[in-house]
Amino acid sequence: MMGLEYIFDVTLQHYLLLGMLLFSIGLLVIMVKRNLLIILMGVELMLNGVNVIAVSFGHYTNNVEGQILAFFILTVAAAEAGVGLVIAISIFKEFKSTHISNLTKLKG
Amino acid sequence: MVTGLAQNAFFFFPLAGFIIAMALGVLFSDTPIRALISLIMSMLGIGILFLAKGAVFLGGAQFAVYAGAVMVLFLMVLMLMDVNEVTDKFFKDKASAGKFVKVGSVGIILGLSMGALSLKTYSNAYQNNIGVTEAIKNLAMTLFKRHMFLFELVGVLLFVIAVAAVAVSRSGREEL
Repeated sequence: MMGLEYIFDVTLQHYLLLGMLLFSIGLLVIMVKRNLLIILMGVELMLNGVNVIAVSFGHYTNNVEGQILAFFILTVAAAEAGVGLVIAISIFKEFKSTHISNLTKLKG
Repeated sequence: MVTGLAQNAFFFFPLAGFIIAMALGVLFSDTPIRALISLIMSMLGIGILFLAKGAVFLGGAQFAVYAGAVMVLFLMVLMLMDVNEVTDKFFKDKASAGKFVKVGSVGIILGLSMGALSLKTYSNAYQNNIGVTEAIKNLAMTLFKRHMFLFELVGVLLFVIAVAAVAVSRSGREEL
């Protein structure tokens, strides 16, 4: 019964584990996928994992600094998505595809 | 502040499972649009998690900025790029699309019922407790006093990004 109680008592560790899982899945998406748009989605997933961890620590230590950090991460993530999508559109205009092998042809 | 909900195992485990499943959906989906819809679902789940953690403003921002604006931006770019390929693959493959819609609806209904249940249990905590408003006030005070310079810096960053996006998308046009 000790094990069951441990499982059903949701603590900080559970949230940290969730954040780490999200981060890992995002990293896996970046490494496995070959479409530029899906890679950008993987970056968003990683940033969300970090946000979960930041908010959880803020909740745990009972101050708002974690939320402030998550707020700035959210803003920078929106900016990053904008730039990434513009670059993706430029690459698509040039090569008619968003496969990342096209990125090797961008020299000069 | 609504503290009990975040420690509730019957709240946390279904929600965490939903978020992880949808994140894995990004990994294992075969078309970008399915990956995108999975990502939106995952973001909505994370927003609910923020609300339960007492980060009310951040939860709202998560819904509005991430699940709303950024994901619609992704969708627009997706449609701009290969609209025929995306829609053909999504709609001609009837059986798979139907299954996907079913799974999506189940997810939405699950989320809504979960939210309704949690609100039923914790609505008194929201109504009788001024902790939520205090928390938002506290957040605003910290953001606009201690982190004012950082806030302005982020504003400059967003402005530069908007200009850069326009400049990059207009470059390469010979006729202009």
